[in-house]
Amino acid sequence: MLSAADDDGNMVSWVNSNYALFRSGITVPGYGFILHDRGALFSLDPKSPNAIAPHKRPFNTLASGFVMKDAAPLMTITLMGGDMQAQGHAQALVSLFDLGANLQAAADMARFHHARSSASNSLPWGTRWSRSTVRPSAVSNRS
Amino acid sequence: MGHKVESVDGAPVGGFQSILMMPPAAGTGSAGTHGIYRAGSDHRKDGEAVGW
Repeated sequence: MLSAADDDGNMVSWVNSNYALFRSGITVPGYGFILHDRGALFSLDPKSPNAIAPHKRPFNTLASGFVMKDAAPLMTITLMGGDMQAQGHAQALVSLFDLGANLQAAADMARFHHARSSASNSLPWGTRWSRSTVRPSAVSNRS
Repeated sequence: MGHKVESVDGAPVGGFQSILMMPPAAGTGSAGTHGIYRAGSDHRKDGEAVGW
């Protein structure tokens, strides 16, 4: 994962992923890296919009991002972590634009991760958060 | 109904990096970065923002 910018205003938001295990197990001779196996995310149901077919890429979670203003990039927003990416983008942007946080404060704020199940929802427990700050009992049963 | 909420370590909530191009001062046009970027990075993961 990388965010970068230069003094001409060019910006890069980049997320890489090889996906599972040892990925495809195929290397590019002379280049020293392994190709990904994101093709595993295709559906074998021909009725699915994610059905495997030539010239298609499977639906996946990779989501490097920009915030644009007047058709020009204003801000990179890169947040890796599977299906955390889109929901993390949303939470960080709310922290920035609705709550008035600066970028570092937005990075540090607690985030939640909805795990696509009513059985589990998680809150961060990073080094700056104590158990008295994040109290699961205070937010349980609030979907 | 509802969710069972659990506290977790940092990785499941992702790692954040961002760089914001500060808007130009009034009357200075819109080209370039005007020398100012702001950045933030996640203390749960790499936690590094470098400028030079």
